[in-house]
Amino acid sequence: MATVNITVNGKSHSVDVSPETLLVELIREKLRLTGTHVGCDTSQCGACVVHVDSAAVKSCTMLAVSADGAKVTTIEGLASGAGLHPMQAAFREHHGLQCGFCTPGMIMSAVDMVNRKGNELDERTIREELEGNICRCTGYHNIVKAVGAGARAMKGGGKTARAAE
Amino acid sequence: MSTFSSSVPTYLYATLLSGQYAIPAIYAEVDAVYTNTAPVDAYRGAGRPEATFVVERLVEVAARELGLDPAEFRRKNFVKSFPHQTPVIMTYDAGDYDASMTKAMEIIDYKNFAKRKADSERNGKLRGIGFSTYIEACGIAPSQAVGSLGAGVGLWESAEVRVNPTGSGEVLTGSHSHGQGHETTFAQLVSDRLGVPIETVSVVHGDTDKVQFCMGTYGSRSGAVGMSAISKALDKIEVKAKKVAGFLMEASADDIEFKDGKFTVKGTDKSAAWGDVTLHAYIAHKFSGQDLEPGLKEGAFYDPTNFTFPAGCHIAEVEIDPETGKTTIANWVAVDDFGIIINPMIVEGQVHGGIAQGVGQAMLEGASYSSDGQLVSGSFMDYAMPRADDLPSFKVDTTVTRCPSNPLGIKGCGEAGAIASPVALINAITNAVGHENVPMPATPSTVWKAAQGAAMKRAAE
Amino acid sequence: MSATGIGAAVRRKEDQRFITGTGNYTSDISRPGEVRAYFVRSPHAHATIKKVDTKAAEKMPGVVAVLTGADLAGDKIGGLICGWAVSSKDGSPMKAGAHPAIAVDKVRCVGDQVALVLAETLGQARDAAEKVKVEYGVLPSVVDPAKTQASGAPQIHDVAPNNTIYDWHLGDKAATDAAFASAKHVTKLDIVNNRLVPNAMEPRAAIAEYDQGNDSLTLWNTSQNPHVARLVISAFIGMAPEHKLRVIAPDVGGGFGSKIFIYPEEVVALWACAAREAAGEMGLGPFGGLSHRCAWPRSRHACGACDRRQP
Repeated sequence: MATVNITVNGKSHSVDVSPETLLVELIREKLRLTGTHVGCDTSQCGACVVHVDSAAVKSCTMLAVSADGAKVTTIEGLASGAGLHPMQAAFREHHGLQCGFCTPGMIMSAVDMVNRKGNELDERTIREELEGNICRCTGYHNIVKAVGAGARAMKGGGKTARAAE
Repeated sequence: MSTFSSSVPTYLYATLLSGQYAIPAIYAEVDAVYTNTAPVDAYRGAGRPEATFVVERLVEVAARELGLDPAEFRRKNFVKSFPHQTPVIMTYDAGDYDASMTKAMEIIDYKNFAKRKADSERNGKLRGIGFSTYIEACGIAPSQAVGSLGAGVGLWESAEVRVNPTGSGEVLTGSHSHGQGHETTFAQLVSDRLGVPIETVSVVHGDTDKVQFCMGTYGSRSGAVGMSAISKALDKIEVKAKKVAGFLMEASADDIEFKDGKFTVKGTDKSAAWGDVTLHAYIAHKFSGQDLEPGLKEGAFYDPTNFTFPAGCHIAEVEIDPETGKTTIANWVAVDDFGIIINPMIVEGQVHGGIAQGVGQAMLEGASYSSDGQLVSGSFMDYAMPRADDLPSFKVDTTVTRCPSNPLGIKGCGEAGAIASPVALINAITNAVGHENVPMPATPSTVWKAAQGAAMKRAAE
Repeated sequence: MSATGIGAAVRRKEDQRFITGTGNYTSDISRPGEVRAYFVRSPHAHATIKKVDTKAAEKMPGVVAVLTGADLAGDKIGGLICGWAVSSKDGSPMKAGAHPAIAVDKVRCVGDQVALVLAETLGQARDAAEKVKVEYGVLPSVVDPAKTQASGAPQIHDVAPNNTIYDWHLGDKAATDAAFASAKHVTKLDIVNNRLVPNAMEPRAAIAEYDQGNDSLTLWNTSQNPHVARLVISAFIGMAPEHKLRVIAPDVGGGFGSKIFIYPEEVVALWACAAREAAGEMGLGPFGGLSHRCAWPRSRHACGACDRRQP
């Protein structure tokens, strides 16, 4: 067993895990934050994307022990306060989700995209940047619209509430 | 054999081989065989994408072989009067196939396609256009009909509407929602019918302890069959609520009118709000138990009188780099006739997703087995599904003919995109490369070979 | 048209929970005292099962039970069914072979279930599964549907000679032949439908729970039609009377048809915690815990091996 000290959504945790435990397992099973999903086990689908020290990471690809000392934001901690993050609101407004399973990873990837690429994103950029997230329901049409609108709505607010930690 | 595997290549496939066309004679043979591979069963469209592929490839290729415009060839052969009995069981009830194709051709600017093709050719690219005028049979009902074809179950749907004393309510439905948005559209129906705020309606599904026996979600049936059951229960709610309102306002139930959530007595200025009536239904102070049962809860089982027949026209336009075989979808237009639409945002989303899955079939996806039965496409690393940059944004529109076989006039929209799209894309690719043998998935290597083969054949001629 | 009535593009009520990560999918559910299930699956496309030796696996850390097809058959748990009868041209009924939820004497595809390992953690179950020794008698296999009816092709089910389940037809052959014979032009095409995997983004999953106080079972699964699942599992598979079985399909992450069907894994999960003998083996006898729970967590591998469209 190893002890991992980790800050998730602003809250500090000290968690004992076996060395092979993945970050996503720590998040889902130890901390019971089940908004982060596992869709494939092969780092393809992106349903497990979280932010580790302000960068998007597929949490099924990272060992929990590698996140020792890290600050992690999951979908549950994306919004500051009770309201929605602008990207969450944009996904709802533009019907950017159907079954909802890929949605947390999509939103976390989208916010990371804005943090890296800015608030004015053209369709080509959004489509290329979403390459690591698979959605089987929407055909991406409305996800692309949502990301563009969410990116514009993040202007001023800038980065995510917690990414700035 | 998996649960419904036997029906997919038979009754869900061969019964749609008439497509949108008046065809005097059809004959289909199907052999079902065991292999040493994983069991197979229904996937979005289930049999109908396969039927559409056969019909729409044949029609497209026949038009090309005869030197006819594929759109005009289709138009000439469309079913134009309804009801129409096909030679393969189905009786089409309503539709206007010309209308959806005409609209799709306008949106994609079909008349200027030749100019766009010439522009592509100047840039060393091949351009192609492909049609799919599809039809499907949805709802997968009535029960008597499917029973006569071998189904082990009836394919009706049930619903219960429970109105609470404060006027809020729950809809308990058999139509499980796993992306389709029933919690919204079903609440819309209730809001519309009872004139109550949508926030006061909850939709409950997916728990055998809460919901009575019901049949579930498949075959694009949640609107046509599931919501029809809710509508039937709402009819009963209205009848009962009018009786309560009659006692409350000391009038005959026959004189009660109900509109926009308000009960009025005909010819008077008396009125009662929805919440007054629901409260009185439960406190039961204004009527005796012998006059009227307290409470406001009604259930319904709805069995439709026919399948529903969503239909429409998808047109795909592609540009192909003959040097690499890479296909880019330049334009995609879908004009579908789903009958009455409850929520256009959700319907468009269903079409987008269906197209994407069909494009996946046509260009990317294939479960591949080695000859000794090892699945070599066993993970997402090997089984290619469409990603965001494989697809364009889609142009989606509708035409409407009301479905005559259910009270809401709904035909269903869940599977249409996946049914229509594979063949539209293959018709476009074959049109671009000038070669009809392009198997699915039309990967760059497949398309490259077809393009090169066609070019060599042209050079030799 | 009102702002929320028929025809309005109302924003979805369900989105709030999905965009905030508070949805409730089957794998998000965790029941107190649950054990995890992992399946030993066939590496061969076609083979007889000569022997399944579970002894070494049973001694692995965290393992509570290792169960086989023989155990399942011993408990008289029925096989999976096909619910739509299609007859051949001669009127004979289709020839569907038996489909036990865990293979007993023969495996018929790579990925067929051969044994179930229950352990405290999924990792332990997976490790122990590697210690289950299965002795196979490998048989020739056939993958291409077009080769299945050839003479000398491997026979997969005894009940289906030439591997043929049915030969079915629809329509008027004579009228169609006559139309082709008199046609000015005939277009001919050979078409192969590529074999697909639906791949809803949420993989299939199941959790089963036995409540001793009420002698009832609950199954949480990724289903498009939980009532149909309950009916089949009760009436045909014989797991429990319908009123003693509750099936809950919570948030389900896409289906596209693939979650209509009743699958071996959910049947086995129910059986593993329902069977009294199994409960004894699991060390959770009447007083060992409030209830017996068995979770088959999401598995993309199993989905890849099981969910397919008609080729």
